Amino acid sequence: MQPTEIIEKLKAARTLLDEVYEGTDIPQIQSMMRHADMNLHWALWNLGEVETLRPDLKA
Amino acid sequence: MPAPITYLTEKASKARYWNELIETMPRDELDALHLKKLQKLVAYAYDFSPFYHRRFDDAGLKPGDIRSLEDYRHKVPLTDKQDFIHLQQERPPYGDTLALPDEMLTHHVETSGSTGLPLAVPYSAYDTERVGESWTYGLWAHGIRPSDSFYFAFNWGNFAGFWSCYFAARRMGCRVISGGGADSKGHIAAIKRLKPTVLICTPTFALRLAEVAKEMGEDIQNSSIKYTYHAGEPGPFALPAMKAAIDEAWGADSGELLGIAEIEAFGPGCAQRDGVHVNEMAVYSWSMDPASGEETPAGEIGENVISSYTYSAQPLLNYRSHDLVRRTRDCPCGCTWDKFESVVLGRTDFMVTVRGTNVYQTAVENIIGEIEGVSPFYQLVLDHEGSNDKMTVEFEPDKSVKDTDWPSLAQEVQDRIHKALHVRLETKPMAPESLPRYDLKTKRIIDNRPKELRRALDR
Repeated sequence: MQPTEIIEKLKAARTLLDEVYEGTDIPQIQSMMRHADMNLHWALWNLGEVETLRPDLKA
Repeated sequence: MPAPITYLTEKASKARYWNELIETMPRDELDALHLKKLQKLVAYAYDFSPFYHRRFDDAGLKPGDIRSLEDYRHKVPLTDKQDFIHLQQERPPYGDTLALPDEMLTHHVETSGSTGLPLAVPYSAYDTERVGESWTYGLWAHGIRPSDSFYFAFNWGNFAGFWSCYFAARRMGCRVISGGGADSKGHIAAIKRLKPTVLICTPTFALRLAEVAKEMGEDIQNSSIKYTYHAGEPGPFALPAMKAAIDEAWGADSGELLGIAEIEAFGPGCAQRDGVHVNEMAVYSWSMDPASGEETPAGEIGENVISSYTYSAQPLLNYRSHDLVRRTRDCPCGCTWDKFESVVLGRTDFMVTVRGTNVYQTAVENIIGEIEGVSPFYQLVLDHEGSNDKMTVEFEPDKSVKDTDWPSLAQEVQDRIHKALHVRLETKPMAPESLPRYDLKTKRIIDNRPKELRRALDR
């Protein structure tokens, strides 16, 4: 898979995670989505995709 | 039977780099990325940290003013450990240096306090994920893989120490074995019993453990340890003699990471084993002439000034490390990230002027390490006589050297230092194993000078 394709898929995964985070009030699931999103944001950062310094900041 | 479960695919586990795409990125692309990241960092610090907001306002700086790397180096005010310590003391524990609310903080560590008061270092969960990442590049380049297991000869207190390596080992899928609470004999016994493949500790403690193993009659040269990896003091990639001593004592391949507790474990190492690369995904680092404040070009010695992208709880921008480094490029290992040749060459604040000559701790250490019959344990004692600083090198002859030969060995140490540094220092042989041993940061400098004559950070 080329980096551009990886980036596209990682961004799509973040969107899905965000939908789950916003769509549930279960603390455990929200916490898990937070952790998963950190890794996706860091993966994007390490592929040169710099939008925000932290995953919880909006671009 | 189904195929065994593995952490990485076979192809990934054979990769030469942890992430080839970024470790071999051309310089112009790296610099373009740095600018983008620094603009985000400056805006973040200005928006969320009262300390930086005030600093930038005082300097007449707005985030939009940073349009080039040169803008960043020149316009963003330099910061120093004392700035943060002062604010933290005024309003413990963190002053107004935070950029995140308390509920976002998940881990607290501190610097060792080896140059004064310890600095409190809060991490957010995201910071801990990223802070450990730097280690992984060096560990991977060294040959360490998910099948390896780490033994930490570390006490897991509040000192930042090897916490970042713990995060890294987990990130790599390696097994972590804690040596917390054990004494030196306990560490040796645990290593024999649990058979880890990687030893994590300070370099001098690795040598100390080897001494203890010998006393216990344990053969650690043929133990399960294949690699040792170190931080906290000048280690195997800074001092070839240190690498030779550790490799021989443990029958292993030793490595080194450079970190600054309050910033990052930012210098993962290098496959060439003669310096450390700067993790340019995690930090922006440039070299400054400490006297003029101007950038020093590659190849020349300058102070490492560093900014962290990964430390968002208490951001550090244009932070003076006081480490003197020689920055090089075009490393044969293929990594395009800046490299510090021989790691850290000295400290701007651990430099002592003896009879007009600037003497750095690591320069003396390098010389001592090359002399046969001298152990790696030494200390530099500073006194003030008349109007001059005086430095005495206290060293331990190896046990194999007869005490009748100590005076000639002391003479040789003095002559070798004189030849290399053009200054004659007093040298004093001490009984083997009489100098103090440390688990973590070794204290090499005993400063008996009056406080007012020391540099600010040493007071």
